[in-house]
Amino acid sequence: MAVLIEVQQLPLVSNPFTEIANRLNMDEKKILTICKDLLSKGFIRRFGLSLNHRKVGIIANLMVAAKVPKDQIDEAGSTVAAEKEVSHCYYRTGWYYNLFFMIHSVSKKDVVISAKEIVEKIGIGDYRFIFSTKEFKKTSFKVPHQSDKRGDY
Amino acid sequence: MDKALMNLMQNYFPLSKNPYQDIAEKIGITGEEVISRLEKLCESGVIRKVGAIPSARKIGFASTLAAVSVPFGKTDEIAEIINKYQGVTHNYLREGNPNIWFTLTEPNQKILEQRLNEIESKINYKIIRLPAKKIFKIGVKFDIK
Repeated sequence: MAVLIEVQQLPLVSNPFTEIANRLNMDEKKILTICKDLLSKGFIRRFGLSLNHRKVGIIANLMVAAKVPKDQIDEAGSTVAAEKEVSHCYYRTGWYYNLFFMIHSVSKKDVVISAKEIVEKIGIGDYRFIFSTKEFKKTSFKVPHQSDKRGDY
Repeated sequence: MDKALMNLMQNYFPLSKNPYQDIAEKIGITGEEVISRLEKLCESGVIRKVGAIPSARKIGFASTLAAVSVPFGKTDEIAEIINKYQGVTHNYLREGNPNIWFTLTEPNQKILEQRLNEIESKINYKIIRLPAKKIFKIGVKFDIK
């Protein structure tokens, strides 16, 4: 876990893993092996950069909530997930709508066109387009250091 | 060049001794240039970080999407209370009702529940819990043009 916590943010130096190894007083090769292992086991989803998508011109962010009959959820979810513009797709409980997906693009017009095509493709007429109008917070999930105090744990 | 770098690096980061050098070779610039471009992109806030993206769920953390219906004039005030919680990773004002939508990630299901109850009592509005029962896709790869 110590390795995972450290590699969440890599230093911008020629040998970032050497620096991490020094921080943890571990061998660099060992660090890289652990990283590969965490990646293959899915504890790390990917290595790379996290973008602030609003700052690269992707300003139209649409959440689509659709009501899909339960026996069609898997098929509809897979179809939606295969679409390039879709970043997230979940089956959720707790509300009237149960299939949620996010579409991002450079213009509101583009996302609406894509979204309409997608709901048509899965054959669902009962849906709602829920645009975001303001971003209050957007951060990456980060496994906290043990020393970080987060409330009562 | 920044665009090529960002498109490549959303899904590519070699686990090697000289990762920035390896990235540089793919797009035909020097390792130093990759680092200096990334520094600038971080400073301007275009990039939030370079590193591992952990899977909260796989590590055992529990998370949920949550939604609240708040009167229009109170949205900023309520969002501010919600944002104070470190486990809140996303929070948006959205069209329609409910209008405040946030995601909460906590170390386990029990703490997640406690936290939601705590937020609920603080804001004094009912929170709709929308836990994911199945993930069909998670992973944003933006095509920067």
